[in-house]
Amino acid sequence: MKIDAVEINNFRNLSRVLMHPAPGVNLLVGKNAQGKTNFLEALYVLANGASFRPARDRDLVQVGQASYLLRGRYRVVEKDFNLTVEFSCKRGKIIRVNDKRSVFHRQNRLQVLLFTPDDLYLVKGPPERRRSFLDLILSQVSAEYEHHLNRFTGTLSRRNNLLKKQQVKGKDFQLLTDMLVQSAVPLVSARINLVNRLETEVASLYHRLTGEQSEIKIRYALSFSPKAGMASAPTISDLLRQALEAAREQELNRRTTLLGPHRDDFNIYLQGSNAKTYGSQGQQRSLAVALKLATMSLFKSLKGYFPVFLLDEVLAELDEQRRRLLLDHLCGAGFQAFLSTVDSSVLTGDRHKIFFISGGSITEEG
Amino acid sequence: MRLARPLEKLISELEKLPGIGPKSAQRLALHILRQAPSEVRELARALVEAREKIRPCSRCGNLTDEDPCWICTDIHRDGSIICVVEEASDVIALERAGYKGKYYVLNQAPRFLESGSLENLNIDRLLRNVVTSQVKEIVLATNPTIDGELTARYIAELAKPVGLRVTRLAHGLPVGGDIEYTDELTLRKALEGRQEI
Repeated sequence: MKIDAVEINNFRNLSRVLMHPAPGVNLLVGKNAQGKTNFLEALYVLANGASFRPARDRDLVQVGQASYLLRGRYRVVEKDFNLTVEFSCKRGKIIRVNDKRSVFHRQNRLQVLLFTPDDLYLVKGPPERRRSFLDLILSQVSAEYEHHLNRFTGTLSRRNNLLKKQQVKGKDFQLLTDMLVQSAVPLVSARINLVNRLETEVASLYHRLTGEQSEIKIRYALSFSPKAGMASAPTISDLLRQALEAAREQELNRRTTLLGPHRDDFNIYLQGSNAKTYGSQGQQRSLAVALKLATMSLFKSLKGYFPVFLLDEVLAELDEQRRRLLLDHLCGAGFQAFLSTVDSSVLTGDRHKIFFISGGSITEEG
Repeated sequence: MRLARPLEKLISELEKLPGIGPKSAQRLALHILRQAPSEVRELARALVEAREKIRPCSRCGNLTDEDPCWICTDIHRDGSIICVVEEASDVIALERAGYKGKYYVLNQAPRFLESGSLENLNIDRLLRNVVTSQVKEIVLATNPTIDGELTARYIAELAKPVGLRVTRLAHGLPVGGDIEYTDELTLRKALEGRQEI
């Protein structure tokens, strides 16, 4: 999937931008507070209809204007699409695909994968970050996963509600536990599957990005059993059911559901020791980069095409050598990437385009 | 801007109705003011009469002006099958679909998160009063939401030990629909529930 034209009107500080990006790497160079992240955000809104930053649509409209308009032309599997996202304070949001009004349809919609400095804490940070990393990939490639996830979350909050009120004797608590286990099974199986697929990808990317030859293992960690890795659906269901049964007393004390996919995690082992606790800052960051890049290839193998990769100020967080290796990888990877950076000297060669952003306007180099 | 007091009152009453915003309320109010007094009196009478005469049937919970309702007393309907629905509006939908059995209307969309219990769902009354010896099957037609599903399972648990056949409405393709445009989940459900022809 590649974007070949972008038009931005009255979005944040970008009054009017017309741009024809390269099919490979696009470097957005500019000082701080010039509009680099706003540009990436515009692409993100074009794809997802909403921002990755906590902002209402009204906040995305340029100060003093009444509406924003984003247009993108992209090509996926030999087909061209014209996508428009228009928001006006009066009429709300209108999305058009090939000039027809539309909701976000899954098939062939613009898909982007965002990488921000926050994602560098993927390895080191709290488990919910890793869970939502898995959930995000799986919901993006499977509507079924999204459905199960919504069902699970809904069931969980109802079950927690009963635990909060200490009403666990009734039939409804038992039924909710059954439904919880049932909707947990497809989530856990899909996540285990994904983690196993990520392992090989991450290992080879990590080696390429760092030059290290450490052995890498990624293991899904169930909250309800020390067994992990290859658990089959009936096993997951039995294990969770029994564990919940055994944890009843504790759940009543804590007034919440203590076991299930909402408490699971995954661990990355470098030479046999957990990277979360034993890895160096640099190793953790490189693993996070490898995880993101692995997501790109996984997406490709599941959907048949790459999403568009958006990297916001990630380069600044890496040392000179890792930055070079990452850029080399991006230049040869075969997908389209947009990188924002303060430093224009990071790229050499000619397989990329450089754009300068200053005060909300964008000019192409040369 | 100030409006004549009675007009203002009318608008604010209309605005309380579902689906009616301030603008629609204003349009309706002005329309009513242009109508002949007799027509308006008819409308007012219809509103009051409906509200006063119609209540839930003591047997099935469907909305009726005579108790038991015409469905419960109709001897030509199949009394061996009872369809459980959330709201009276679901009865209207199933009637249109040509269903010929009896009903049981829960008369409240189950909102488990707010109420936190299934006990006030009148389900005991279903089993005590409505399920007589001639009933053979209960069809669960609650919505495919988490609460609908939970309610359905709850009823099934209670009804099965009594020896009743308990069924749930199928998920699948809409008639006249296009396979190409059907979302993958519905399509998968339809595939699971495929039938021999």
